[in-house]
Amino acid sequence: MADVIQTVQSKFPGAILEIVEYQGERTLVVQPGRVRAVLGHLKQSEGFNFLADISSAHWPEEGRIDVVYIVRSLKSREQLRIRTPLPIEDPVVETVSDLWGTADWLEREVYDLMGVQFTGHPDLRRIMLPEDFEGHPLRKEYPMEGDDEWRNYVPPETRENRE
Amino acid sequence: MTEMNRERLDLNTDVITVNMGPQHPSTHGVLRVVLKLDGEVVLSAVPDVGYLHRGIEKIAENKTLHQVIPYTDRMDYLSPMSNNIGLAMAVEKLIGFQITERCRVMRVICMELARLASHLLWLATDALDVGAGTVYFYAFTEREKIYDIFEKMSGARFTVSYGRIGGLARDWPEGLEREIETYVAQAHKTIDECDKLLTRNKIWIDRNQDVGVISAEKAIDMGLSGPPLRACGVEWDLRKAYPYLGYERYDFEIPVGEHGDCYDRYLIRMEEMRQSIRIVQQALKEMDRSIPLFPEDPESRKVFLPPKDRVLTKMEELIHQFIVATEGPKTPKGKEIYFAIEAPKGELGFYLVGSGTNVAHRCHFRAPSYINLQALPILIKGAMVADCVATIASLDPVMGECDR
Repeated sequence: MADVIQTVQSKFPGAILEIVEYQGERTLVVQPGRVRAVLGHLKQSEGFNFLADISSAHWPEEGRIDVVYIVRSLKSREQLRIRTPLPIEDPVVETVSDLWGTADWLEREVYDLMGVQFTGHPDLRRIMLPEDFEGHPLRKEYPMEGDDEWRNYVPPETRENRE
Repeated sequence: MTEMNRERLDLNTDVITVNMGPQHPSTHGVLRVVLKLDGEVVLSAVPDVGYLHRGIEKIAENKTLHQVIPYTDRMDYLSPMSNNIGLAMAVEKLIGFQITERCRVMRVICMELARLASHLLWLATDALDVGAGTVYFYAFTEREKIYDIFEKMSGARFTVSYGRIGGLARDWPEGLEREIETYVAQAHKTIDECDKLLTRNKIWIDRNQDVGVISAEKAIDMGLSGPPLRACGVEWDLRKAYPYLGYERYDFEIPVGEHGDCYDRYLIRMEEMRQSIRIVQQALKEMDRSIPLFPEDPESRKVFLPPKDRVLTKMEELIHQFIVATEGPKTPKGKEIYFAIEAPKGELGFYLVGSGTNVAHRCHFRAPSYINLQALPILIKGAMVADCVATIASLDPVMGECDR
């Protein structure tokens, strides 16, 4: 495990902002612009062939959204977490859906619920919520309950007629 | 060439788009698949999910961690035991809590019985989808017996909410071990019966073999987990890879397939049920009622809710109940963990971020049904419409978990 981090550090100098260890799990905090390169390196050269999960967390006080990748090597059973902090005004990160097929829906989910843009994603649409839904519910400022039911759904084909 | 065949060649077939679902009986919930068909051949399939989205993650970030447990029941509602025990274990990892040995054994038994119940339901519906109606009744009758046991444990048959942070909701009633023992001693009978009905049945083999095939490489790329991954020949089971709850002590095997088709997925789940029975039998031998269910040191008492019978009879426990319910286990601020269990459907992961209070800052569930379903277009491309049904059934998705 230590070798992996060392090679990443020597190959991508300055890309790792921080290494956090908690409960035996290691998290690399990586610069947003280089996260794809680091993940690509982990997949191609270090044998991390399985992308277990992509998640995200919103930190309103710090003004950032974290995108979290959990990668794993099925052979050596190593597991590593890559976290990248994105600015809240412009949360954009490159897609990894061409590296792992599973990233397709996982990134769509993060886009849908958290509002992170993944550049280069082939089909970045909402997946859980209706296409004309406004807002991203997993952001902290999104209210838990609204004042009323959500009833603005109009089927796309009839939308113009109504207006 | 006969007259009829010549006629068939002249038939002009257009590519048509067919909506399968969202309320199709064999999509196992509200799954919609948009099929592009040339005659009976599937040219492309696009699954559309989200019909059952209830925002469980958002709710979980606005409730105390104890209050989240009943919501996890409604994710994979065919094995609620593994969901809420999984969440409890994730929280325990986040706050660094150690459960007692007896609790560990009891959790193993609960989770393996849940796997058995879930696989029995899968067997019933899979067989029904492919046209073997008899199996449905055998498997459901057997599943009811497991729910009788769950009812005695938790008071509920279906949405049990039995897992608790730091332990379990309540101790088992006297003599339940013996009941479980008698149950698992005969549980293999139904499995054998269904095995005889299906495994070497010509129709069953024709409908399942070489249907919904995926290679091991592609399966890893698509992040498949659980039986669909093992059917491709990848020996990967979280109970062996990252043992939790002392699974390393039990003697059991991981069935592995080789073709990655529906038939192999079927064989693997059948074998997994037998292995679950083995694990339960071994765990029952380790069950020792002299060990307490909850740890007894004062620090640990600030984490788990005390058992109800003690709350209502002892002043001190009433105070504990009040404090734990209002202040709860304090999660470390900004610390994050990922914890995954081998749920019946695959890898059920919990990504938790602490907030400094008893409410998680972030609570993300890695739903195996969601990720396994993503591979559906690959599995059914070029297949027949009828194979589509068999393939969905063999992936065993639960839409409550998929959409969360």
